[in-house]
Amino acid sequence: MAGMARIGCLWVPQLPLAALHRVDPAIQGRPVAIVEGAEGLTRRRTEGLTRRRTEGLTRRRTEGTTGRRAEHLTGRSVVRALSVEAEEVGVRLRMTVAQARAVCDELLVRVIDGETMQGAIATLADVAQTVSARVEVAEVAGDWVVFFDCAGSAMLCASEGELASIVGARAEQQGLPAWVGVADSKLAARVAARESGGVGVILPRETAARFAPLPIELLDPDPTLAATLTSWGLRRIGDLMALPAGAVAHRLGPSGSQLLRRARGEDDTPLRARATPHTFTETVQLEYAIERLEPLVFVMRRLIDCLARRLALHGLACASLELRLHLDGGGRVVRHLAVAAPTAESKTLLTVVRAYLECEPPGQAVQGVGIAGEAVRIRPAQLDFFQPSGPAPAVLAATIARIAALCGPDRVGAPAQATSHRPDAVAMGPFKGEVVPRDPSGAGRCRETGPGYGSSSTPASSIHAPVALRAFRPPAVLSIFKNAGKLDYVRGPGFGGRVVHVAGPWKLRGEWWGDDPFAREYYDVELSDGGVYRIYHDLRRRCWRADGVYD
Amino acid sequence: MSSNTAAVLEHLKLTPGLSALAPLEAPRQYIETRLPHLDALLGGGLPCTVTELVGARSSGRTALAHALAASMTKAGELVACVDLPDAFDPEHAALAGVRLPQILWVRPQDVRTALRVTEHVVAAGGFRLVLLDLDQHRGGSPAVWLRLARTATRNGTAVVALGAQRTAGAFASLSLEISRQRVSFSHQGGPCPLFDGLDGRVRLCKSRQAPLNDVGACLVVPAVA
Repeated sequence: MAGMARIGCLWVPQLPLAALHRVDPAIQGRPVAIVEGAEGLTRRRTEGLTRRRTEGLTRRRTEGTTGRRAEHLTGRSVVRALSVEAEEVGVRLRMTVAQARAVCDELLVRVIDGETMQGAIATLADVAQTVSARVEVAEVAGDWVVFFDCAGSAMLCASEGELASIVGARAEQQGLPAWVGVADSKLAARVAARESGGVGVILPRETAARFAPLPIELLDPDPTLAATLTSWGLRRIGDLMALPAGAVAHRLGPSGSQLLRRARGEDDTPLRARATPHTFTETVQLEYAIERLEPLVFVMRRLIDCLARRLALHGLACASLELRLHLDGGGRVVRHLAVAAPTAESKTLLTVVRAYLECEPPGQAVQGVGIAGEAVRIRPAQLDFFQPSGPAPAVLAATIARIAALCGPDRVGAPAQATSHRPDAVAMGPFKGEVVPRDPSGAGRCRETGPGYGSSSTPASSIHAPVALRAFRPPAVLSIFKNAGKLDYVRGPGFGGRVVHVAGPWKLRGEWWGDDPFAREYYDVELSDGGVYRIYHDLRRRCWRADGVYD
Repeated sequence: MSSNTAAVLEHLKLTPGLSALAPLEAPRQYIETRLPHLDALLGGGLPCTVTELVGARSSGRTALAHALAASMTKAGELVACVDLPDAFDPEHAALAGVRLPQILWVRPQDVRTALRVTEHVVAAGGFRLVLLDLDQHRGGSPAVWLRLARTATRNGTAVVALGAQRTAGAFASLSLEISRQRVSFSHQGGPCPLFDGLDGRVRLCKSRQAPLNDVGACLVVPAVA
């Protein structure tokens, strides 16, 4: 098979139903009809007042839902996919919603939105990408399929059938029961998948023979051509191939010749490989708007599980999350959530999302939820016998998320370089928890840095620690009293006293190139209350401030 | 057992280091601070539980805390600073030798949150030192301190509570009191007077691992350039 194109195809029967089932397993076993989400049909119909049940005096609606069904459909919307249970009770494809509900009162009608479908299709592509670098997502005659390059698959598996089985099993693990076909061309692979019922392989040069008993509709002829062929009594592909090529071209024109080529399994369209994704998105539109946190987290758990499984397919981890909440009133909340350490563990990611939702709950009921994860490759780290290992990345990410929920995301991090020349400027950056190698020379000992102090007069058994400043944020407003032009008394919030010693001033000017320049005179003062303070005279605002106490 | 074997075993027992080897499963009892005089005062190092560092303003308690953080971060460890008064100054910490990227800095708004954050950090593991700066604040139920002490022991973390007064009470296994002895200013009356630093004394008020003594150790806190 070397040198010959071999194409694989993933096809999911009833893809809309499978896509919905993937993000909402609760619909399993129930009669479900999927209708298309029509553009512009955003009318929300309030119905089912009987569904509104109250809980005591709080009148909170059960299950945290509003009781308002958000439907983007009308009675004329057409059923596009059906569950087996719905089919058993008599609902059929292309029925209107009104007809279907008349047949089955318990029918669950769900709208499939484009984003949920795209999530399922992207998952199929992710599955294909586990065995092939070249993967194409295509819509053929209204069906979404995924093609992948199978050339050289002998390096991976003993046979193409085994490869197809592996791909099918992986798709099943992602919640998508896919049928897999392998053949010489995209067309043949798609037909093989659709006719296989699981796994179908058409060996090289056997395409025509395998196509012969199949119905012509599988070649997707245009309606006019299909009607002509039907009027000629042609039902099978083999019937068409039995006709002379010249006569078909003469009577049916170029479209007839094209159809004949397709009947032989010839398809020259190349595989258009997609780029490897860096962001993985999962979305679901809810049947009922959710008000309370617990049901919302329950929905988030399903989405995050799907996201984590997709990341695991690529061996990637999630570095950050983007949470999108579609609110009941038509509003939208988009929030970027940082993950302290990249992880693919759904539990950790859920903790991050939950911590955020507990900290900043959405003000309104949530109608739809989307989550996008930015994927990164985890760098392997070699641990050291003699170095501290630090916390596990997943644990660290969960801990930072919990702390951010308690204190606010801007109050946790690592000290960072501030983009300011002011002495009191501070900044925080993300805490990565990376342990750097220990200092071989310093051995952790603190050395004094003050010039000449404590070198000769200090006792030998003394602990040396450079002075620290306890900052006042914001700087404390001071009342200053002078005597003969010298500082005599300083009073601030919670401290004050007569000046015992004073050092300074040190003049500091800066940021004169910006909108808010500063010019200060700094003093170190020891007060009679026992504290040694760093105070300054703001020359521009003509006021005194203390920005810290030495300790 | 032959007499030679017994003699060898006796010799091994007396070999420095070997007798001190603890079983691998045993939890870490204390953490060496690498400040020799402090380690000597503490009887080996900081215990893996709650330690109180008590001192008034300008006593040098924050300088000692920074010295501990610097020592730990230089050894490659991670340190968390739960900074209730929002007083941590990264510039002076860096001058003291603290490696800032290894510091998890949290600024909670109240005592209750500060203690919860400390619990989360200690429970995460991997942080060898947690500085809980409470300053003038007091609070925390005994149950919280007990939980904190137990989690710290289990995860091998030293929790150092800085404050103006003792807060952990009976749940602190070690208590250090720092008192200021002297403030040094030089060139007073001259054209350029300077603040040179502080002198203090570190005294062991309570310890479960070292004998108490009234002498303590000198704390020299020079001003930094």
